Amino acid sequence: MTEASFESFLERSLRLLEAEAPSAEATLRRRLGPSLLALFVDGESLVLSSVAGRLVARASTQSAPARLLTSRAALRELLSGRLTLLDAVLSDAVELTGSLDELLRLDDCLHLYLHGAVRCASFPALLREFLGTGREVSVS
Amino acid sequence: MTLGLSSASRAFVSRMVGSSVHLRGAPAVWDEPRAGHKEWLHFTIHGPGVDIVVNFSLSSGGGAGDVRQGRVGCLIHREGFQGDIDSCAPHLLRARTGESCVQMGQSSVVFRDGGFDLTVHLEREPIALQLRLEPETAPAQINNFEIEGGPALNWLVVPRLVASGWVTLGAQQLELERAPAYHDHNWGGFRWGANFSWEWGYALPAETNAWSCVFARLSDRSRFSDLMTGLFVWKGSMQHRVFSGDELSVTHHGLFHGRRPLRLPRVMGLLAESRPADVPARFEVRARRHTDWLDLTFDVTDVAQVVIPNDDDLGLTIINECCGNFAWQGELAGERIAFQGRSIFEFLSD
Repeated sequence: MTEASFESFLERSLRLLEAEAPSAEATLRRRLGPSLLALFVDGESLVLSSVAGRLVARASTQSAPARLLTSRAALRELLSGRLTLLDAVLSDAVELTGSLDELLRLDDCLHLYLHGAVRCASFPALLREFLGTGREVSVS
Repeated sequence: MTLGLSSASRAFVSRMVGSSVHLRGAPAVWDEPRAGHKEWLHFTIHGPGVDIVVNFSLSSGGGAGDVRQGRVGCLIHREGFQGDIDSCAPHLLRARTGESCVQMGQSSVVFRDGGFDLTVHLEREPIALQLRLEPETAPAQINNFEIEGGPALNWLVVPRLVASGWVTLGAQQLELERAPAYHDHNWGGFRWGANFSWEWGYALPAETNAWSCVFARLSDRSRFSDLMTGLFVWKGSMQHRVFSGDELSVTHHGLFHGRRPLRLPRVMGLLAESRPADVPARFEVRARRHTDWLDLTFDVTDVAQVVIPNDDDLGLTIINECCGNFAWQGELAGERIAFQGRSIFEFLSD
């Protein structure tokens, strides 16, 4: 199974949230507001933003007030419960950069995204495709 | 463990269980279930040095992305909890209203020839089991537990079975021979996150002994108001006594402080990172009616958590699966009861 790009995964997952967890998607969009989040996974750089009432993820090297840098390997560890988010940050498996307010916004957005993901019945298949595990990663 | 039922009694119990274990699925077949319907078949087994939970769960969502879903969960406790919850792809799920069979990929539960055949093969953990569970007691069914603001919850319980077969944990294989086991079956259209909570547990003897019991308390989410409380007592194969309402008092002693619990599905550990804060170290139920009395205590030794997203808000409902030791003593109509053993209690929390 070939791995999907992070951009493709994130963009498709946002459409899933719209369709299957609209309440979480709307709350995430409100919390993000006009701000931007920069996300780096295995060298791919994206910016998450809210455009015309819709969350969009686009490949970009644009700077953002908060940024998160990680890898597929770290995501696998986090999603399988072998690593907590705190341990991931303390071990630099996940790097966070930004002011305290922006990091709190990023933390809220991350949790809202996860709350939406675990309410989407179609999410496990999408995640499996992205992580390339060949086996279902249970997120719901 | 056995009650030593005659073949006629065993056949009667099997018929009673067999006539009541079918999937409800209401009102249509599971291929087109009513939105929001939930149903699960829950089993626990206690072998020498091992406690096992198996749960086959069906739901039809009811949200914007409504699809039917099946999950099989298996928890095994030896020195700590191991296990997982597998989501079953829709095309690998077979469950129909009126039938007593659920197939989820390589895992299944079937009621046939008077007993349950359980098969579990977890996808991501080296855990598998194949067990035959034979009922020793007749079931009790309690319909329409009223829940504020939502459809009712229905509950069928077979408190005492005997389980034989094998369990594999990695390279280890455990053989079970007539180990004490418990089963219940829940269904309804209730919403996770609605104004309800429960505390539930059971006591099964580990040796030849006529007595078994189940405790259940359904309350509002803050646990200030009980919706239903009952201590259901079986003697031999038949239900013998029910204590309820003011006949019962329930006390939590202390708080359980253990290691970081196993959380399932594992990804939910990212959303529920704190340690269990709502699990008592000791749980006590006292029942009194005239000269009859029963005291049931349960000491928690370990906890695993099943974390469920609420249906109508972004909160979580946590089912704390607590294994531990119970002690049950008392006197019913002049007959003394005193025994102890292993059990698994559940406490809901946010």
